[in-house]
Amino acid sequence: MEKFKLFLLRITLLLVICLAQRVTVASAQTTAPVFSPEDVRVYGKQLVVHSDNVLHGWKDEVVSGEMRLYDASRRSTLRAFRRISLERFGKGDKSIIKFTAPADIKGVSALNYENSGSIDDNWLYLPAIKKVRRISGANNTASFQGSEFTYEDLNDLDPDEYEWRFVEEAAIEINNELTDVFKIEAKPTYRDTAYSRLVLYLSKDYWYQTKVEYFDKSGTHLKTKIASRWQQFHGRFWRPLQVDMSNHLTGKKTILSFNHYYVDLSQYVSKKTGEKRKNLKEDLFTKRALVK
Amino acid sequence: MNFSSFKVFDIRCLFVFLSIVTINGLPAQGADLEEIAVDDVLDTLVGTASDSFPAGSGGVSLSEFSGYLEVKPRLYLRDRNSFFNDEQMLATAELELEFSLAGTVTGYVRPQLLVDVVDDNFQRFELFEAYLTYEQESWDIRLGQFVENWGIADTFNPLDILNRRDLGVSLLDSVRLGETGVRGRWLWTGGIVGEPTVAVYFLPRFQITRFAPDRQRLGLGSSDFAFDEKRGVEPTDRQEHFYALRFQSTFNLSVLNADFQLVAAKGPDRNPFVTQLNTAALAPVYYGNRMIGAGVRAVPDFTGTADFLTGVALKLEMAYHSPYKFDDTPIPALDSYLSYVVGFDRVFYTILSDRDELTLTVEFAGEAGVSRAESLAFSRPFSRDIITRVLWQAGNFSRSSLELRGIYDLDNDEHVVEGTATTSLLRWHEDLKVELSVLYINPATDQQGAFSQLPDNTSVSVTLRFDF
Repeated sequence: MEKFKLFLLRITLLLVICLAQRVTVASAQTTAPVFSPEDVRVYGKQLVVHSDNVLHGWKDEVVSGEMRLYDASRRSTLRAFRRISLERFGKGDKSIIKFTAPADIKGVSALNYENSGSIDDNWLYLPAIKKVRRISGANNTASFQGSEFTYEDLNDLDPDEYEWRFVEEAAIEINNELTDVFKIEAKPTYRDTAYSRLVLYLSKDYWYQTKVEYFDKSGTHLKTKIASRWQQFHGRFWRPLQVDMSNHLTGKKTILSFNHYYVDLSQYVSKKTGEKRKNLKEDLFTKRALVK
Repeated sequence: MNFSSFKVFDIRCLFVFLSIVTINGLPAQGADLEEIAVDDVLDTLVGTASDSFPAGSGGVSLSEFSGYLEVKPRLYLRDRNSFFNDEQMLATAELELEFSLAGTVTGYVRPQLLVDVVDDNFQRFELFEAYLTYEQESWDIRLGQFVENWGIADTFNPLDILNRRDLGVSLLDSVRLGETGVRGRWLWTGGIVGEPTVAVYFLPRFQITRFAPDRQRLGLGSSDFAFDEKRGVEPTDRQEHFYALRFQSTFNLSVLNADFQLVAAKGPDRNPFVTQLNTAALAPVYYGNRMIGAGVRAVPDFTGTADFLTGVALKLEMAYHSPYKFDDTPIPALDSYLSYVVGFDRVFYTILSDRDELTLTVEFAGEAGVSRAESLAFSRPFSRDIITRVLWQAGNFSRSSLELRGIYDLDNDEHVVEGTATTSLLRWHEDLKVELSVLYINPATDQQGAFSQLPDNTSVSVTLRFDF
């Protein structure tokens, strides 16, 4: 009987994954999958894998934004940036981030290739010395540009790198609005992590993390990330235009906000030519592009 | 080139460029940035156009405008006699302009004005870079005056022979001067051997090395021998041409990911030979060099088996030089030699706070196949040296940092230590920074070291810099 249940579960999972990729875009991101919540670990992972599948297919992204860093006394400073990203499903995404403010870091750029199963390739361009340097990618727990975000926080969660546990369905209040969520606990299984566990609040509407609580190695609630100002692209992809990260131990906070956000460039029509734009090509994600 | 001899041609180029940008590049009065087409925003973000300044009817648009203003008083702890100007107050203004022409051609201009306020004999106006780049998907061509950094190591780069230097401004970090020429480059992505790039360079015009004037602190002249640049011997005709071929690629193995490059070049050497040409004056004598070299920068992937290598970048840079004399050049015979640097960078995180980081660099620079005396005679101080650098970055609002760099000459027991502390002055302006730097030099006692041939240049400087 147990084997039969497992078989049914697998078939269901397979069908859901197939459906998630084939059904109309609109329904794919709003319809909750039919999973069995009996095994909370399996169910937790199923939900996250489904979220991953729903979010897959964005092809490329072009954004500009800013990070405002606050200290405990609410003094603040700003970092502004542009980022282009290329989705390479199964192979690892590529991205370039270029800082545009403050003036002394203007032009500093970083190129990242995610490599499935091995270390990432990372390069840094420093305009002051006109040099592109390959740098070590082993900095998961380091702060990103002095903010409350670490590189680990900015990476997508790989379903295979965590132990998952479904906790409950709930309605949480974010910015005075109630959001229906799946509450899921995740324990990292990789070495280079600052956390013992994460608690994710996965939106039933967006299939995206609306809130994440981070617990340090001693189990203390260290940080909370809240995503807000949601915008939908092409009837399918939801993106938060603001992400707040609060550190409960230091009282510091970072607000990441985007002022331009474009997903899947082939969906935009060029006013100059009247034709659809093309998606970003791989040759934009090279060291040559980093120096621009 | 000093300010008074700044070439009329360069001034004309700068004037024409600024006129074009002013007429065509600035936004129309009252232009609503919200109304800029998605096209322009996207092109800007992707890096092919501008949103700050929408393209004018002439098709020229200014895409980046930045620069800095800097004041740097420098005090030398041991004064010389009254013949020399020992203290300095360097005031610098540098501008960077990037523009695009008709979408496919981009341009870049970087002029700098430097004046020593307490020494009216020391002024510089340099058009470091002024070039146009025509870019296609898999190739590009650059024409004009440009600066590139081919080096992999930190302080001394055997491969970095493209740009001549200004030796009059800084003792340890000489400034790269622009070289005039053409570069063609071909790129392949997604190949089986990483991302190969082949670049060819041709520099038809010889560029002289800049020296400090005679009485200035870093000047090579003395009360006994003047340094007379005008008496120098320069290459003529085809001898002044510089050719180079550079191949770069990446490779990923199970144990490491790496970038590597191969360089072959022929032309005037970066450094001249300084010699006494008559009884009363020293002068630079230029000579040629054939060079072939290679460099690798690799990041090991030993996670789990060798954790101490996590965060390490390994570096190897080596070049075989075969110098040659130009016709009738009055310098001694030249020996071929191998120049190399081997070392690593290691980054440590969360040292004193949850967001600081420390980068440790250790390198060994050496030469093989040539005597120490000849290395020194040809102004090559790195013949058997250990170089260490520790850079601590606080990760705070002020972007504070502390850097310690040491160079130890194993042959002559000579060493140099430089400490630099930098922080932003947020109280006044986010883009205003102050830097305190101390340079301590312990020269060799036997007059054979690189620094024992100069006066004791131990110094303290304070820099106030405003970036925009």
